[in-house]
Amino acid sequence: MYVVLAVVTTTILYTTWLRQPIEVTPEVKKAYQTVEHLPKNKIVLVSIWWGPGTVAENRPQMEAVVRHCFMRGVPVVILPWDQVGSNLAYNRVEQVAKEMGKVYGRDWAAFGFRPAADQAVLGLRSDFQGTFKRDRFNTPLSEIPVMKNIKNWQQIGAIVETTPSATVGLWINFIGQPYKIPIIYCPTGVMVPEGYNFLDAGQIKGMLPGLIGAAKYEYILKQPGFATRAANALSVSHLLIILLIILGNLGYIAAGKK
Amino acid sequence: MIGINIIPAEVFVPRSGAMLWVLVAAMAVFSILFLVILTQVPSRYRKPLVMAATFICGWFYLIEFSIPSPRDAAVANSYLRKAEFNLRVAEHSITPHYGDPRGRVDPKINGGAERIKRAQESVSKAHLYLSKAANEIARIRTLREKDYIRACEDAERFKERYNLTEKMVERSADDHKIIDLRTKALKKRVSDLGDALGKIKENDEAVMSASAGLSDTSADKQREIRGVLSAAADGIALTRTSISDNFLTKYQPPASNILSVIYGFSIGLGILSLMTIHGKNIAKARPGYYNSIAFYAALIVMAVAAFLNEYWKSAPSFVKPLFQEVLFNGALTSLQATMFSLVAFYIVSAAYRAFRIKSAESALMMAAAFVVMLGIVPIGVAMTGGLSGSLSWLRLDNIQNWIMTVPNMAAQRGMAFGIGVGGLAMALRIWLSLERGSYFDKQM
Repeated sequence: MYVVLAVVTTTILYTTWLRQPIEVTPEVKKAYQTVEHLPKNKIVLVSIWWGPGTVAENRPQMEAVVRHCFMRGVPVVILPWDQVGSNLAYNRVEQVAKEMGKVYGRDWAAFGFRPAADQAVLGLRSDFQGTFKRDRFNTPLSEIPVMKNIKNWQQIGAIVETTPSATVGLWINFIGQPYKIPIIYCPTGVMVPEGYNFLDAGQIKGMLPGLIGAAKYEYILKQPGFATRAANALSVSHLLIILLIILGNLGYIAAGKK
Repeated sequence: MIGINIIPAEVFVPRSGAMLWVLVAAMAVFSILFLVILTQVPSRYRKPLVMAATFICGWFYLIEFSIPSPRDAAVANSYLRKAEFNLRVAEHSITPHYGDPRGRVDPKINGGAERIKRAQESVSKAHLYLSKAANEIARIRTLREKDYIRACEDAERFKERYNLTEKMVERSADDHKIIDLRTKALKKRVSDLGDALGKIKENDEAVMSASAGLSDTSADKQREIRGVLSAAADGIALTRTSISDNFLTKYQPPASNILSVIYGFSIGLGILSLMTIHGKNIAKARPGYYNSIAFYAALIVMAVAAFLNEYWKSAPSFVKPLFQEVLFNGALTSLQATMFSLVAFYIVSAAYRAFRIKSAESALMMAAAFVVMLGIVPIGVAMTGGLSGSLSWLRLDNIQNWIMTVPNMAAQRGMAFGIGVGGLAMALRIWLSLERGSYFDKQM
């Protein structure tokens, strides 16, 4: 059973000719619209809570939104709260930036791992420079063009929260609600159900639900990437699990429900 | 905090060389000394000490949170909140819902006429509240301007006094600093209120101009008005916050830095605790002691490699790839990814156990799970994509969307309220040191 799952998903993942219809749902459309209307003189803070465990879901989400920001010329700042995720996110954004001709420091920047996220978020609202001081290469923020003019929340255009945990409340409570800064929520699949509350209440402006959300975003951007391929693997693995559950139940009934 | 801020950070943070190692050693000694001193505090004083520290620290955030705005702006703030609410109601009223023609609210169907009327009424109310807020802000601005002029006169008088009386030099210098700070604060307040006034008028004009077209029912016009209403509501929300910062807000960054340091200590304590436990395992050769050896090996190798990678500038060329490629990307990243990937396989067996049809409820849960699992992936969309018109609600993606946005949301909200109340009670218990558990049950 496990071998079948491994073989099927891996094979489909590397099958490039397979195309399935992708239906763009309202939450993804709203996320796209939010980025589409962001001012170009404010930064987008991309918050990274993920590590290698959820890299397959969260990285394509981050990549899709960052790609869109780069396409529009909106500056991006990577803000990692995970030691390992810090490097993973930086490396990927660096690749995307190179592909799109974006320059570190001018079009985007990144911080190193930062602990105590709640205190940092509280601090950045009134004193961004004082709270972070230096980027991941120890360069003072005052020497980085994209960050030197960020004084407080007023220079933040949007927050992109890529996370495998229930961390979005932090941004909603301290940034989204008090200052009306739009938040785009990019949770892993298991965290999606609770995201709809925030979406309905207007506390987040859009959501990329799991890997499939990233695939839908890639579809709107007309830039199919890893998430689009992985959506096929997701389809097949869901079908396989359903099939196994049906077979299991048939066996359960045949054995007299023991 | 002032003492810390006036010393350049570079003095404390050498980036390389012998000073760095001196600093690391000094910090380690200092941390150990600090922890030793803490452990030497008699048990009967330790708990009250922790309680007092927790209680006092909690006050900072409580007070900062409880003072939402300077007192003079409270009335204006209230008007602005009402105006913002009405603008959002207006925007919502002319937003097309299910059953409306594509992209617009039609007065002839789906209660469109009432909704457009409600939007017009809400805009009128918002205009009224914005006018009241503008008058109120203009009033307090005049008052603060008078205060500012008075403070400037006081400052001038102190300057004269400072020059005339030699004996008063030291005292008057301090007083003058205080008055100077006061004049600066008042000047900023007057400027902030002036800006707020300008923005309120600007937003009000935009809303009134756009709302003149509310009777126009074309999709484009409605979209344009919705955009203006939304932007104005956001603008007013920003204006509210710009006049609402209280005197404690500016101390949040230093408080944040202190807490980061405490967090660093907690990591140190965690490592110390792990080393103690695993050290005992090795010393007593307990079953599985080789896992403890692996822990020590991993801890030391990663720590040393990270330090060398960061600070050994003249390192041989193999050092950097050793850390970055072998240990970090090759080992740590892969191990973490492997741990989480196992979940996929556990889910397969867990799904079967959870979805065994033992009762009507479990059958219902299984059916819902099937619809959500299929409706969310492209293959589900393909399976029922042919259904259109009056049958489109039967499409798997539509049913999945309904499950997620209606029953799921209701259940999630119920849980969120419960968790919220529980969290509040827990926060109060921790703040007041009433919480019992392994930490407080034991005599430290």
